[in-house]
Amino acid sequence: MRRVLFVDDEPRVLQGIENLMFDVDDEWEVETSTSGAEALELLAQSHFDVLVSDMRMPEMDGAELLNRVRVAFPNVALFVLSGHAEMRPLLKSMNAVHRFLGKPCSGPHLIQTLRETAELLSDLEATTIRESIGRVTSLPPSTPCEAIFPPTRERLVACVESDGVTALRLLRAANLFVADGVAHSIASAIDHLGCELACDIVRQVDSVGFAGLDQEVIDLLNDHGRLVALGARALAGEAEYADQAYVGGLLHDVGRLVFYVTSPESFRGVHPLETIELEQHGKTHAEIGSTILALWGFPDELVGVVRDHHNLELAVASYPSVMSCVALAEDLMDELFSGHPAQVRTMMDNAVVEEMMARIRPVWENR
Amino acid sequence: MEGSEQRIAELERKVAMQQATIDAMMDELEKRQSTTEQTRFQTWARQAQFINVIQQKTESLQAALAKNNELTSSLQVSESFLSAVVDSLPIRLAILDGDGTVVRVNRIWREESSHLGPVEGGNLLAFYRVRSAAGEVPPQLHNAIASVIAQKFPTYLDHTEFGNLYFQTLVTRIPDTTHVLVAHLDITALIQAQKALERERRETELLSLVTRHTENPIVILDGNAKVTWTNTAFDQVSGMKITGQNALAVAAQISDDPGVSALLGEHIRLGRHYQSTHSMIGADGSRYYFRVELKPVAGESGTPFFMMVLNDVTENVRVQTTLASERKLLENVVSNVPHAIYWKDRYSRYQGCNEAFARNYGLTIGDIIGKRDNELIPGKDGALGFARENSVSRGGHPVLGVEETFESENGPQVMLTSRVPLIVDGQINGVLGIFADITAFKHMEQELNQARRLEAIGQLSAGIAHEINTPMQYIGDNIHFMDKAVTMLLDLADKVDGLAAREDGVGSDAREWLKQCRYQVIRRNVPGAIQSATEGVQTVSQIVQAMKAFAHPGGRELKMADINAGLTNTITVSRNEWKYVAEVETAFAAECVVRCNLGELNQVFLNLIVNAAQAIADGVDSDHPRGKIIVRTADLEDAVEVRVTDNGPGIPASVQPHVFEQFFTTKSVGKGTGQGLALARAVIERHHGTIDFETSSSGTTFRIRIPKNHVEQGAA
Repeated sequence: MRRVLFVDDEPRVLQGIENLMFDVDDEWEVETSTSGAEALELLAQSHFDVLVSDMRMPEMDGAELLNRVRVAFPNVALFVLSGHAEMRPLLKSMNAVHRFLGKPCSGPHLIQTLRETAELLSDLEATTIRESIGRVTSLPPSTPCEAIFPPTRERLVACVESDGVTALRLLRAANLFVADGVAHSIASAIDHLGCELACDIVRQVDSVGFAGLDQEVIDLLNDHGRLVALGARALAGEAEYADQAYVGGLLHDVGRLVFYVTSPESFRGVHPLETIELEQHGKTHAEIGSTILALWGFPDELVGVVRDHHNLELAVASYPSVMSCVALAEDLMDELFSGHPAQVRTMMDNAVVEEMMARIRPVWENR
Repeated sequence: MEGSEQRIAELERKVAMQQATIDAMMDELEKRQSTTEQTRFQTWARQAQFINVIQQKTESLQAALAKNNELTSSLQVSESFLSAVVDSLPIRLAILDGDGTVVRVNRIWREESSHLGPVEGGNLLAFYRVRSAAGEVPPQLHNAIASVIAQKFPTYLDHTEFGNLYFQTLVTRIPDTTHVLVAHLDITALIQAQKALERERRETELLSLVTRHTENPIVILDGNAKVTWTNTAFDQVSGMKITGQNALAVAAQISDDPGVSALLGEHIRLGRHYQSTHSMIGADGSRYYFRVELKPVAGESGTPFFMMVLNDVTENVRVQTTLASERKLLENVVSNVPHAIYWKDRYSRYQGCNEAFARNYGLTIGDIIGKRDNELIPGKDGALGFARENSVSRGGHPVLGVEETFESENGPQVMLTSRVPLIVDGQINGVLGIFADITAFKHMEQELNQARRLEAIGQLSAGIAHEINTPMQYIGDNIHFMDKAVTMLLDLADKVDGLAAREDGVGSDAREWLKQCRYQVIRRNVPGAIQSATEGVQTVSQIVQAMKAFAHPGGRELKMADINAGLTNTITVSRNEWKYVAEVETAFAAECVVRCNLGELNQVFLNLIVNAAQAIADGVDSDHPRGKIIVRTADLEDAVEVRVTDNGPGIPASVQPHVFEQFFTTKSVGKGTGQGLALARAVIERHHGTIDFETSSSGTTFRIRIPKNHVEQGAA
């Protein structure tokens, strides 16, 4: 049984939801609360998998409740169920929120979303990872975007594209505030959100996520992501998915970032063996990364890229595609980095590999 | 006797010599009468000496005469000579005896000087005493004569003043006698000349002082342009001492006016008067402007010299330059200011205007000046303007910030007008009008008002949506719950219904229960009731969502948005506008996402749909009971196209050109503001898109195109 806590200042809403959840009372145990303070008490008394909160409430509003829960109970997945259309008040708690549901939300949709989240969360049984998910998107960028003034669309795009953590946050915000899977590229995320909101999201950095972390490690991961992104875009060339390939490259190692944030003390460099990952976390970084992107409503294609970016056979078979551009770019980049021949050399025609290498090499040389 | 004759001859010779000497001296005296002071004094001194000489000679002559009594006859001759000599002297001579009685006077005394003293037989002492007492003669003269007679001192020599006349007076004893010689030499002319000279000298001194210290720099040049004198002012302003230098060279050096030297030279050469203004760089490095006046002056000796007076007009020139540049500035301001400016006299005739004003009339400035409004454009109704102008130019009170609407070729023109009295020398001389074209601002203001209205509507509907959404949430949840619950209950009831077939007591109870709760009706109607309640909740939710999305309180930013969704929402919220007159059909392309401000576009869509519905409503009758509105979207290569078609009667040809004009409306009062399509066009233009229409008697299609790839540079 999973446990869910609904918070709303309108008791009839809570009663309605309790009635609704009657349908799935074999899966979910439901508790309700009419105030944030009471909700915090309930959370302190027993574990909940999901908290679903209204935004506009007297005394303690939803944003404050979510922020408190995020710090005090980091392994609770947070949903917003609000009739309020304005996105801005959500900004402060966006790093903590998994899903935004608008009122009125149909019963089947609410139940479906809860189910999906529960399934994804069950993939992250290790509670330490669940706790750190919310921190990943509030990390400071390697290149501070605050310096960009005035924040034009072009500058914002350039700024976000240079920083994986910021890109993750922005795309996640687009999924959260506009629609799941709406944004396949940085530019489209900015266009959907509007420059003003995008700019505020870019600046939404806080110290909660950063505690105990080393900026150098984050920078290393970030640099790697950017390099693969540039490589993937170079391989995609004129293809219309070039920007998606870039985003795929930028985010492909998000799982490693999660591992680092989860247990920085046991982090074994930027390229640990998957066996170590499995040993430590029970999952590879590709599995964890894709699960998290799915949890945050990223487009399926992007989730697939993260999940399969080490699956070179699939990459070779599906070439050219978003996923293959990312996987091959990383493999070829690795040859330039380490000097060991790329694995793909044994899998593809040499002329094709050399053609790809010719696109990758300038990126490596101008890094 | 022979010796006596010799002596007489010698005397005669001496007398002759003396006569000659006297003549020469007289000549000299006359000649010198008009010469300089110094010479005059010399003459005077010589005369004094001469008198002494005469005196001495006379003495010696008389002594000789006395000693040679025996030679009387000869002496008489001599005496007559002497008399002649004495008489011919221009000096007034009188010989007195010991008590002051005049013994002998010379001719000039006798003939011309009776007022100075008596002739032989009169007593000069007595005369002077009387005259002294009367103040006519200086008292010392009487005393002097008395003292000389009394032998207190031998000689008295002094100036004496008789009325207007001045004399050099000599009183001396004639040696070896008791006689006294009184001689008056008339020096009046001398004294007067001296006084005149003194006056002149003082005047000159004064003039020189004035010249030296006057503020006007002054330079005196000789005929060769050599500087002979400069005053302090010149020295100070030029910072140099140029006396002795060539003025032309100096002029070439200190004036930055290259021609000035040649000009001055030419005038000096011709001895002409010259006057002009020249600039020069002063000792302080700043530029001075001088009115230079070169005056030829005839010198005493006949050689010409030149006086050059410089009059500092730097301040005047500066004021003139400033005025000129201020005038230039003013002209620039007046001609370049975007406002239309004109000024009229008290009789409403244009005295001037700027380009902007002339452009408004489609005329040139020259066409306008001197005319009245009604002369410029026949039949132009300037009555209102005239009344305002009149009150300004008569009453003297400015009328500021009045909004007036004028008809122009490009439609109505809204002007912010100000009229102020034109005051010249304290008199109201006309009126100055300043018209600012605020048409664009008025349009903007209206758009802004519209935007504010939209924003307010957006906020309001967001609030209402929130209010509605909360109950809709639990209504929906509860209906969902009831659906499940009722389904279970009906299953239960069905089982009871199954029991009703039994013949036993259970069966009869079951029949009774089912009858009591009218089971058959419930069984038949409940699923439908729940179904329609669910649908109702969905419909309300959709409307509320549409309302929320329609108002779209997302600021004025452009974002990626789905045009199809916008149209769907707009059709939903405007249902009440069209549902009685038309059906709405939609034919949407699959993907119509474009960077836009959907809130504004929704407003445009609403206008088109409402216009379409109203066009159809005008044509609805028994033959055409309901019209049709078709909303289509198309995903073109580089743009998204929206077409709204109605099957109304079409737009009349006369109306077609004005469709997009601000404030143009064919609707009756209260039905429209005439802003709809003008605003629609403004919104579409802001999206860099186009809006146009096709119309015929069978309907009208408005078409909007919004480009896909227009990224505004630098837009935040």
